[in-house]
Amino acid sequence: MGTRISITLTIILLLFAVQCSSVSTNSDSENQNEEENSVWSIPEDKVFIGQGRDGIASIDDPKFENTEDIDFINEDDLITAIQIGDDIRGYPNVILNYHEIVNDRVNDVPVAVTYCPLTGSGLAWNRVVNGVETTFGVSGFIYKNNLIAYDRETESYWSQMLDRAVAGSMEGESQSNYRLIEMTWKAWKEAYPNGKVLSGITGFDLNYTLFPYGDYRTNNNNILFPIEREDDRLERKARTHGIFYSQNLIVFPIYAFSDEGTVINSKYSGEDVVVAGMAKDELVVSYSRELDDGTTLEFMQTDRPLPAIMEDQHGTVWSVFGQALSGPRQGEWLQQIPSYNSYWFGWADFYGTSPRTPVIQIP
Amino acid sequence: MRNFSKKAVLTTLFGLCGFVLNLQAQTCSCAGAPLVSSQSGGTVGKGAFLIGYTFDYKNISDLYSGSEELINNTVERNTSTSLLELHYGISERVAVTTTLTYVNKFRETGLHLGNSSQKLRTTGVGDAMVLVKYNVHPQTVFEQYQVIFGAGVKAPLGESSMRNNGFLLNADMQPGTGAWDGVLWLYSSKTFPGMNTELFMMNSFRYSGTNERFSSDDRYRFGNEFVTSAGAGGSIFRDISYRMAFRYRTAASDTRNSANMPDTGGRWLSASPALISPFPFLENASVQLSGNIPLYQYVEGTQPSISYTLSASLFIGFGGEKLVGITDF
Repeated sequence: MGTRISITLTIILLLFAVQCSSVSTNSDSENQNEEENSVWSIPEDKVFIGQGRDGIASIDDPKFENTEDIDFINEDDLITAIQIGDDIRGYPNVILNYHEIVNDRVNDVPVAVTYCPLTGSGLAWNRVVNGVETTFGVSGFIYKNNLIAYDRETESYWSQMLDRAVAGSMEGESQSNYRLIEMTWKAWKEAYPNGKVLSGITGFDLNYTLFPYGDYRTNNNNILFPIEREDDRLERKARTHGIFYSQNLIVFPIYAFSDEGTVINSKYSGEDVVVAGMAKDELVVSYSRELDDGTTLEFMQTDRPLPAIMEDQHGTVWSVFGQALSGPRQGEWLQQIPSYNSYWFGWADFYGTSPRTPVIQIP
Repeated sequence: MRNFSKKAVLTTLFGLCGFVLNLQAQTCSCAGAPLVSSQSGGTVGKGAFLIGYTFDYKNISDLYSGSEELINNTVERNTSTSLLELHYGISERVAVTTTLTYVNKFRETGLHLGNSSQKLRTTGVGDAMVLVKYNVHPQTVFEQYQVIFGAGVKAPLGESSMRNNGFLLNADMQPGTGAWDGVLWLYSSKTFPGMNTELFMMNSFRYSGTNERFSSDDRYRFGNEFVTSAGAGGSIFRDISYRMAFRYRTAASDTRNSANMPDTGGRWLSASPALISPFPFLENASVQLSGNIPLYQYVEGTQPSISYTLSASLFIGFGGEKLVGITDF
């Protein structure tokens, strides 16, 4: 019997051993994206693989409904919005949480609205890459808990919060940005009751009313990937608005704005900037105060309802998108400045280089 | 006596492999091999040695949000696992079971894009489990029920930091979990010879340890797992038997540094029919074919979940006269 046991065991263990030897080099990947093998400008050991390429599906054929027809969004839920020309569109974050990228055409401009639910950051990029209109997809890679997108033309990888390509033939390049703002659904309905909103009928069967990351938004300990640079001056998940100026980053906690509205006229690195926001609407925007004709505006609160957010010393009322709604400059636009929203830990991890960087400004 | 021993061996083999049901898939909350849910029932007596090989294929392409099934048109996943079980009886009541695994995981994403989907396959030795079983009440001709208790550990033999082109893969694509787990196991059965039926119940509990997924100060912990199954078996035709079991499994959410990870954990109820037959080319050997049919599942958040399972097992016994827990149908 002993011989029989030995022979049987040997055969079975050999079967296992043969299998072992065939995978000794670890993973076996098919259909590998060649760009993954290219040089990355960010530390590769800090890049993690999440759901796999397009495991989170971008929306490439978005449909829109009227605001009044949308019934799956709570009043306090956030909506990300864009305006190009007269075309104003809203993208409910409850949908963006599941898709992260909407490849859209706004006022006939090809735009990719990107949103990372882990860092709470949203940027809109032009979809013309290397001279060719394309779409962006979710690469499945994560860097500092933040989305890495890829474009389907050059298959380059784009770090959202770095706002540039970090691997591939477009490495080091940035796409044109368009102003994206966030506000509550309640505020959106007040501001744009006739606005177009991304439909919940996306072609994917998902429960958009359920936040896909549990208590992530409110639990500061719930972080999915490592944080390299911590900064405890604010809570990790504090929603903040950051603006870039000459290598500097100034971060405004959104909760610190007053409910009625706060307007800050300031100068950063020689640039005149206005930051306006309302805590109750979770809305903060920032623009240059300098106009093309050399005029520097001074802004103040307005008693006009949304979408108006401020007015200048000459009586022009300006919208949340920086468009003059009424007054002597009606129809003009304020210059966009590099800025977007993110959870505080995102700013600190990406741009924290010293205990006092980024600069935090409490309104 | 010789005839009795042969039947005893076969019956025990059936009893053991009848529980190689692999009813529950890894959800995206779980890495490694389905060790706890794949443990065989029964035990072996002093000097007896039993080898079992199971090939288990799970299709994990259903998508659930809570208990609601969604249409999944983006991702397809499957896991196939080879499990090698070695049972050895140290004494009449004490036996040791060792389970080694080899895991093959496959994921295809971007199916909605047509021909530009991305495939990823990881293969490797998975974790192993060692259980010491104590036969609290051996089955005899006069008292035809048995109660067996087991305790052991799951050892992290499988790789849990596998990389693809230098990039660390998600936990659910790793062959191993990277953590030592504690396991408790309880099996009981009662035979009704006049009815040609055996009822059985098996419970197992895995208490998860932690691994250092990202760094030495990072603590990732898979959720504790509890599996209970109950069913009946008996002879259908000559030496061919059936098993029908219902299994309920619950897994807590994974945690990272004590915070619950989203889209992990849940509850699953499933049924698993199985057919068992003597293996015609080897003495004291049996084969089993089984499947898995999910009946109910509730997952935390949105998770891929099992669509179906197919398993094939081969068990070979040695030292049959020393097997215990046998029933002469």
